Amino acid sequence: MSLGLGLALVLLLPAAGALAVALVPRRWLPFPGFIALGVAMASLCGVLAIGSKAGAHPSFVLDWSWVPECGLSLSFLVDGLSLFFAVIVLGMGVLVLVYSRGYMAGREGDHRRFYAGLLFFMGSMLGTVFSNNLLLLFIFWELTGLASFLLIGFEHTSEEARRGARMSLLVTAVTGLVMLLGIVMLKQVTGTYDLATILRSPLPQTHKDWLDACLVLLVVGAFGKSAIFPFHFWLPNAMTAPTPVSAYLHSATMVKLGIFLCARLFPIFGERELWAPLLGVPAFSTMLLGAVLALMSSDLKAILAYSTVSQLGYLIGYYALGPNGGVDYDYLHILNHLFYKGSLFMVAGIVEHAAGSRDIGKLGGLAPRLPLTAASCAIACAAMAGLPLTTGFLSKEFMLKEIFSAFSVHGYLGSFAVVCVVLTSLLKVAFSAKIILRVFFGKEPETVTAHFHAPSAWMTLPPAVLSGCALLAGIAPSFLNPLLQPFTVPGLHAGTAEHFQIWHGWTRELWVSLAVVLAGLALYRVSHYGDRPCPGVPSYLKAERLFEWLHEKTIAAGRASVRLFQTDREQSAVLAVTAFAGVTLGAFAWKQVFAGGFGPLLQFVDFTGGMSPLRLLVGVFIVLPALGLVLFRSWGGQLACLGISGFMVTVYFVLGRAPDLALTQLLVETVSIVAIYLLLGRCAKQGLLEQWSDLPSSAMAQGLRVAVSCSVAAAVGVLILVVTGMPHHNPVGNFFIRHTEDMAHGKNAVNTILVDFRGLDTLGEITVLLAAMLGCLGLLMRYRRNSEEQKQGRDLTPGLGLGEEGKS
Amino acid sequence: MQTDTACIVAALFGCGLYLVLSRNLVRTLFGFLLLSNAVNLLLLATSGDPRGKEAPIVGAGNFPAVDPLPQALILTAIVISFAVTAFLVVLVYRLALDHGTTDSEKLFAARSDGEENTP
Amino acid sequence: MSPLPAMAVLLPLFSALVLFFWAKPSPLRSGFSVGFSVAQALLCWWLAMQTRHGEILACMAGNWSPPYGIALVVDPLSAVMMALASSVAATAVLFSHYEMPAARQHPLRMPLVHTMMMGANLAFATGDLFNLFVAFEITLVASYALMVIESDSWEIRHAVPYVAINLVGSALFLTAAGLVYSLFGTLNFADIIVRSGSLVGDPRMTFLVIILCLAFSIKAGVVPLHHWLPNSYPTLPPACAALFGGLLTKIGVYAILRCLGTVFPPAFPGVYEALGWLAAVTAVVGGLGAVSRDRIRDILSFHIIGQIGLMLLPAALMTRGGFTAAILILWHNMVVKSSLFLIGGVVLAIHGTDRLSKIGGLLRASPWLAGLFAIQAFSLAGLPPLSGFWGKLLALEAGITRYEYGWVAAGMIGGVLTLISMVKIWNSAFAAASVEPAPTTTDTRLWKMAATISILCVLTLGMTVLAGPMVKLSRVAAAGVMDRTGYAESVLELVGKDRLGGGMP
Repeated sequence: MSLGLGLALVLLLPAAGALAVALVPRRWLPFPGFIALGVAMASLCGVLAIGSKAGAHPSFVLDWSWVPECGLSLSFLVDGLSLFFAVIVLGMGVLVLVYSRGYMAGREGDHRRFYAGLLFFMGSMLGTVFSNNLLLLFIFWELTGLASFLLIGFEHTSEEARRGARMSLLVTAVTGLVMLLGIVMLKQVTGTYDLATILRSPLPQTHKDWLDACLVLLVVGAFGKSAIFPFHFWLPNAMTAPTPVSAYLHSATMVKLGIFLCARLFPIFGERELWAPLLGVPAFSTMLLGAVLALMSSDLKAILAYSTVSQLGYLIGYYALGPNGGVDYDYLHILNHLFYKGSLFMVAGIVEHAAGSRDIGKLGGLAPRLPLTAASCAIACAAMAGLPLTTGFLSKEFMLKEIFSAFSVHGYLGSFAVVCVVLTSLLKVAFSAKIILRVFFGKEPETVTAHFHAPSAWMTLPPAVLSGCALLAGIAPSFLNPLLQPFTVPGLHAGTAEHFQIWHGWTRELWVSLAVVLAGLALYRVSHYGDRPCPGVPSYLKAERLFEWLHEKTIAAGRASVRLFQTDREQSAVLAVTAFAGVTLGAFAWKQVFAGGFGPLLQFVDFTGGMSPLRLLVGVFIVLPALGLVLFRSWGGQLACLGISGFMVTVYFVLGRAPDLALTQLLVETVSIVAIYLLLGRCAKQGLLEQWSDLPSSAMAQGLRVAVSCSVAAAVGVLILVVTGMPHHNPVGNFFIRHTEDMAHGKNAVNTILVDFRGLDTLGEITVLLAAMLGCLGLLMRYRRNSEEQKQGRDLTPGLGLGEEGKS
Repeated sequence: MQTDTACIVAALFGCGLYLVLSRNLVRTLFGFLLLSNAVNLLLLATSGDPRGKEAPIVGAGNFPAVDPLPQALILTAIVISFAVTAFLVVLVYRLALDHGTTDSEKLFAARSDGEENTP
Repeated sequence: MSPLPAMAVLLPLFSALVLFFWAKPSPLRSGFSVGFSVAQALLCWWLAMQTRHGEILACMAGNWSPPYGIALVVDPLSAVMMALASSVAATAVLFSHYEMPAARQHPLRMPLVHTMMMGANLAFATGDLFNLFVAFEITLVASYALMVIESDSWEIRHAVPYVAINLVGSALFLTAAGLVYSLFGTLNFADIIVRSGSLVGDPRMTFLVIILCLAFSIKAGVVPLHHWLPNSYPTLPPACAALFGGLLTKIGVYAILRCLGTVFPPAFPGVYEALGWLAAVTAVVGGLGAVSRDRIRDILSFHIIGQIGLMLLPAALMTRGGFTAAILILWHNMVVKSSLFLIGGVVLAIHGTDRLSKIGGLLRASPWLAGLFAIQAFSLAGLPPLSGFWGKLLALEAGITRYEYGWVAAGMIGGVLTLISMVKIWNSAFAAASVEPAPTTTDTRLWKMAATISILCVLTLGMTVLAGPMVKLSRVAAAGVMDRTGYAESVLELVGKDRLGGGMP
């Protein structure tokens, strides 16, 4: 089997599984959990097979065309980084799916939605890590966000879950949009979306000023996804998701995408001056902030979420400080975090399931009841605290070592990093102690006793496996080297990694480590002395409040904008429209006049030509009644004015050598006046027409009305003078006079135009008449809602409701 | 042709627009009638100066005749505006019957930017 | 010379007439209506297939050659617009068949819908400015009628601003048409192109372009001119709202693209800049309005405005890339917006109201509807890889390459606001716990309505999977719209093949 086919299968399997689970009815496809598990395992095997076939340090691209016009192809890059992440995604996926068997037991009705969501996420995650095309990466990136939205909101009837889902979606989508802009700009700089090409070739020197902008925009996307300050707040709020989802998406995989992106960008941007401070400052701040908030929290999942935030901060900061030439231990840090955090999240789920609470103030003494879980948790906490014989120790040793060397390279940033890392390590020890001691030791509260259910083996085994890995790799670290080594990527990794050993001798790092552990335990002792409850996160540190405030304000701004821009009365609407039209035309005219005086405009005007006293006289009789219409208030007077003005237009048409128009105008004017007289006159007699309430309610509105009318009138006058002053020398109209007789066999050119040359216009005109007639008909036979129906609620369109009787 | 037409059309436009901006729907309707007359006259202005020219009917007189195309356009426009006028008249009639008023301030007294309309 | 464009115009007119005389609503009549709209859709898709490589099909009404007769000119943009419009119309017609029992359907709705489609097809196909005015009037008068015939006395008030503003727009359009005739001596698009060579940079032409843009912007609902839209659309029955939302404002955008791209030579650059900033304001104001509303129909109506802004933003760049993006967003929007209105209609049918505070539980009660909504809503919000994403991507690219950072930012804000309001609908109507009384979802009509909507959903997914051909087609369409000489040549050359004039025995 070729690699391409294999990769396609690996990528398609989860998607196909998701579709099958979501769409095929349960009757035909029972046990969606097993199907999901099978899919994940098959994909894992596929990835492992690809990895083994590809050999060490693979780097090859598989390409299928999709949207060539946008520079987008289904192009996948198989290299160490993508394989490493794929193994994590699928391996963790298998464990989480096993765990979900236990967690979701008894909720068979929701299985399809749940497993479809997980598989959908798995597929998009695989797509993201394998993408070789930045646009494709973005597409899968957003799909993971969508999956996260659906899974966080899994308990959709809970208001909190919906809010958390909305927050995570909006934060990741907005930062994702910013990232898209960065990707698009990078394309303008490099000319391609193809990652392998960009990685291969040096950055071009054109658009230099854009490069830093690209970097900032891309990093914003990474920060949003990985919950780095100032976007860190969405992750704790995402903890409303079911625990398997939290363990999978919000600690092990999706939130690592920001780190993945930084690793991808490292070879491209790592040499730029902006790189270290741009990533380092927010990342290390996040690290410290997350740890502090974790210590303050009392909800088990919140502690884990904040500590995840902290660790994500460290991982990004690690790339920020990456010594020139590359980093070495990123995989170790990621694996370590995967082991202990995955295990802890699953433990939290077990505890919640078994004891009915996740608040560590209400827990305690679970160790005898849950021995395996307690052991898993203890190992995981030890790894988190960085105690020896776990991967955490290894990770911390190298962390401190590299940070101390960064001290000399990066100046102030380096010292900031050292302070943050040391303080965070200390805090981690403290909250690790808090978790293990508060949950599994001490006195068991009565509520727990009352509620206790034993968890199934489906639930307890996966965390044990993860903790076992942490322990095993901690005791015998040397076997990690040959495992991780083939995954290294040139450009990202320096290739100078030391051989992992359990004992490095009495080094500076070990002493610091020792001091940190002792200080951390002391901190725990001081801050949680006795049964003192956790302080909880103070409200001024809850950035989600800022987000919610912003959300509220957006809606308020929407209301304000509607009030400002929206009117439902026709005269203010028409006023706005005409005033805007006048202003636009006036602005352009002013610009012309400003540029060249009146000359350029006046040259088109022909003042002398075509003044005729007779027409002017008729014009006076058109305008005077119109003025009368404005001034008169009586019904009869207005109607008379309207009529006179209209009939005078007829006369004007005669003077304009347009007998057909005159006839038509006469007819139409008569019919209109008669219709108005008959229909509205009836209303006028009943006093329904409000003839006197013509003025707007305020003097200002009236002033505006007069001003707009006068200025639009002036504008129209000027426009006619300017535009029609010098008409085209050869209008097509001449053709019709010449040929009306020989071609259309009619003497009257107007008539032949109407019925023959431009017959389509006339057809349209008749259609308009038909439509207007239908409208009038509809208005006159219109359905009227009775008072009972009005009371019932006005939202219902007549006749739309289901199961109602006909009523017209 | 165009100087005097420009004056007439401008005046009609001004009066028509003033009426359209009235809060009384009947006067709005009258305003639209004036506006459509104004636009028709404007179109007529584009057929050129009629002095010394004949109506565009071959045989009724001698050439030169005025440009027939604008007249055809006006004819179409007149009929269309007549259709719209008829619709407007019936609409105003219906509103007057249903609500007992043609004053748009009273008609829209209940604010209804998507919020609940209370009859 | 191809008779197809004329058939696309005449077919709906014929069915409108038949449906007018066949006044009594019955299932058979609905079937006739559906059948003819489907036939029309097929015809328009056939047209689109014919023009997909940039061919221009022209048909001279009465066989009179332009510029003397009226030319119906179908290029890829018009063809695809017609195809999508008629597909949307066919779906809306089918939906209105299921919306209520045949006996209760308004006898005038179908003739008016078909009349409106005739106007729309004419507007997309015509190559003559005054004929475009007539086509606009057909759609508008039919829409006035549709707006009033089924609304009660409280809803009917909102028809007044709708009619009034559009009358002002028509007056502006007619004024512009007259002035164009005076300045160019012709009304035919191709002929205007030929004659405009000497008028490049002439302020009179810029005046005309401004007036036409104003008239079209009124129809499109650009922000200071949008007052007719947000109050009137929610009063329509869902099927009509879907048709209006998918069609009417889009004709305005089409006319702007055609006018700025094809017909008139580049005017004073400030015009385009002003249009761009207006579009930016439109995108933000429309989005903000949508976020603040509380009824699905209101949210969707404000969205129309916001999306118009998002379409005009790239168009105002006046580059080929910008036009491509605008056209792609336009096409995607026609489908997505109408299906969202239809989904709103189903919600209305289930709950009797679509006020978000009073509904909920639809995710459980009707998961299919939730799925349809999710696809369309996230597509509207531009989430990749759904159809809305491609336009957004191209628009970003087009804006960035012209260094219009302000417009790009406005477009992005508009997109985010769209997402916020879609999440709002999702969270309240679909995800939230069910309200009392529990919604009725057993009626078989609901299934039929949902099945109807899924036709449009398939179209959206098709535009997603076939994004490559779709983007290519929009590029072809943009190239066609901006190729002024090509347009003029092919229209006038088609004439050359026929003898001058004709139409006599």
